[in-house]
Amino acid sequence: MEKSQRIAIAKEILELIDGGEPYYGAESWEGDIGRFIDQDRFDLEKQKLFLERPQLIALSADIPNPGDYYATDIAGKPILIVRNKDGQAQAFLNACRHRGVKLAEDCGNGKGFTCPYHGWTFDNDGKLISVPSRSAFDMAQLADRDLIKLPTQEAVGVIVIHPQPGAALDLDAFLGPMKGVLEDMDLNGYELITAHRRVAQINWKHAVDGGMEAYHVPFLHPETFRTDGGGFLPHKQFGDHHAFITSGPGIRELKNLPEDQWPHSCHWGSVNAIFPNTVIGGSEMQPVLFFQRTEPMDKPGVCNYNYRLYARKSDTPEQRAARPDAIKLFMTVAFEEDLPTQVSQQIQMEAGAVKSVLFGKREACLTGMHKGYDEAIGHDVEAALRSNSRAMGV
Amino acid sequence: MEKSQRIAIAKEILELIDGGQPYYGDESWEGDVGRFIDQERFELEKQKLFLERPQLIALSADLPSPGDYFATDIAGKPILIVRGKDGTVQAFLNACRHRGVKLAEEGCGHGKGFACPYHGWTFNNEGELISVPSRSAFDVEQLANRDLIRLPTHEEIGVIAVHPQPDATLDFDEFLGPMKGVLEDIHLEEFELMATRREVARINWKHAVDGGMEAYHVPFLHPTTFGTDGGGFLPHKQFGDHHAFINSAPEILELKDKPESEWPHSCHWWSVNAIFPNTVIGGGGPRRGGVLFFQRTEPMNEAGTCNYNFRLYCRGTAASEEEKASREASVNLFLKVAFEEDLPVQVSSQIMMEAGAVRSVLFGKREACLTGMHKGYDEAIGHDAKAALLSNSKAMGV
Repeated sequence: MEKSQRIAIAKEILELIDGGEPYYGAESWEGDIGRFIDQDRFDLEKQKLFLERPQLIALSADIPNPGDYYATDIAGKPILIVRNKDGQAQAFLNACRHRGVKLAEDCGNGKGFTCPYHGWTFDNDGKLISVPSRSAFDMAQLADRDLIKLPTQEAVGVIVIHPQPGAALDLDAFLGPMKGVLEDMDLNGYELITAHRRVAQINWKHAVDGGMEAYHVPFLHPETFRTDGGGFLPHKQFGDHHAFITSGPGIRELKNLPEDQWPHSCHWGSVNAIFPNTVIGGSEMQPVLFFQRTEPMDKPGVCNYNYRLYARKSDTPEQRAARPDAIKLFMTVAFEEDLPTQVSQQIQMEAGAVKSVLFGKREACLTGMHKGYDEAIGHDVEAALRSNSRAMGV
Repeated sequence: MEKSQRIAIAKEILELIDGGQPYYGDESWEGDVGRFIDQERFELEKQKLFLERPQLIALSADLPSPGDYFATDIAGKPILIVRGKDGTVQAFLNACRHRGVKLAEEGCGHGKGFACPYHGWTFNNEGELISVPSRSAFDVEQLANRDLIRLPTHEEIGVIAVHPQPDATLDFDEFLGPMKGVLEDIHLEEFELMATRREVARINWKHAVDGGMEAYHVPFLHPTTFGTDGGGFLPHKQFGDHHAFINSAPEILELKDKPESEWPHSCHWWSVNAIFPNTVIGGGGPRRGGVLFFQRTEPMNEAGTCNYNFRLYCRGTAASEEEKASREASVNLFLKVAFEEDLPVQVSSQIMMEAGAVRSVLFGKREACLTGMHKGYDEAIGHDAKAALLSNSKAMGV
């Protein structure tokens, strides 16, 4: 993004530090809990938020080299992303064109994909290149049996896909001003250091919510992320997306320098929620960068939790030696601290023990994201709150 | 079947072997995926393919002796098959006539009758209500008509066919048609049950029929279990509503040097048979210890789930410890192939389809039995595959 924009945000942070108060958003917002447990809403979300929109599904670092592939999913729809020999990333539906069997799991590198069922083989451009007993099929039927290609664009170290084969995809329009934020993170300077995937007993939104506010940090992460620096985090909207801003102690020194000597980063970074469910967090202060996507599966209370960690390719040997400790820290925070409270929320809600949720002024990104969800599916939160209150008799 | 028919098929096999090519059917067929995932179609199938038609539900070997029973289901409808003391097999709805509780749990057993766990009402093996605790608490005429509800049943050539509607007529010969002769030649009445497995599988019931009825996949999916040998020369044959794919032993090559009158009745071929809609009976030939399998995948409540019944049999009792060990090894091999190799790809296919990742399926000329069975399904429920393909392509945007 323009340096002037970074300077403006740095000045906001410095003002907050001077004032001694964390950032407060404009609104404390009450949300109905149907958003986490209602099956009809959930099915509508899968369609409107996921299957009918572009998704930031991966980082370029997931498939850095020609022949690399990454098999994942968007709301249960199996996606195969492949970097071909020209270095171009393409995405396909991850299903053989003969009888539909899944072609690849997780990450790997190869010349193509052979179906385990009848040996049909596709190259890294998705072309059907080998069919055992080819003459058992009509030529015309095979002419149109390349892998089904999905609209794909790669820029600023991210890969964006539209899960509908015939849809139009405009990465710039999708990311809007968030593109500049991501660009400044230099995502192409990172390499994948660990990938984790599990089925979690939470609605997918709980994990986005958990990643996008620091109000909970002193209470839930006192030993891990601790309380220092957690206090001054302006929330910023960038198009359909939201960021909360983290800064290092170095930012205080900027006050004594003329602005033209401030570094481009201005010593702040951000955790970014890319609509609807991608969370990317990292900054010059952090040794690792995380990428998180919680994919809805079949029920509102279950998701496929993808959590991937990256480190800078430029790391020194000492920094590389410290990576295992950093991985352990991030994994502990995500899966031993954050996830259990999210699971607790989900269970309480499903048990009928929760009337509504509140997102206070220190949880402004959550309010922003949830308003975006509600708008995209045409949900009236006020009406839902009233009807749930009646249903609970409170 | 007539020996002349067996000879004719043997000659077809020999021609294929001479030609060095596997059998190719007439048509490479494209099918819509709704047949595996559409809930409305699924409900219609349960009615039209299962509940309104006779079903080959068991082998005689599942209940060989008087007093034996086998509790199973047809598309979720609980069926109790019992061999009465005169050796006659009868099938009943497996529900007590008092309050409807299931009388016998799924599986096989032996006894003099069935006592309901709830209030102790007891029925004999002929389905007659023979004991009602505190009988005088009921009006006599109410109890007069409370025998188990009997289903039309016919046993012959080692198989048991049942019609799931109590008042339907069951014409065994008409149901099996020319498939009867094929089954007769297996001598199913000589087999004994070796192993049974039943589990809820995350597939539409048809995937397991499809998986059992073509060998195109064998060298890719079963390279170390079934191996690649003999997978090449398998004519597909239609027998009425049913389909078979034909296996042959290497000995078939020796027939060429003999006059036909000296060919054995088997002509050294045997078959895997799909009995409409979902019964697959295969094996029992000279290979793999003579193990025979019986498979039925019963539809349950959702298109993507079935009750997978897989049962294994051998001819007579093993003559030696060695033969016994070889049979057990073959049984384990079949279980491994079915549940560790075939089922996972079928589950994968099902999940991909439900996820909207599959536009259509192709059944090539080496999958001719599948085309035959699926055309039969479509005809029975009045489904237009071509129209469904068009509409799904539009929905997927491709």
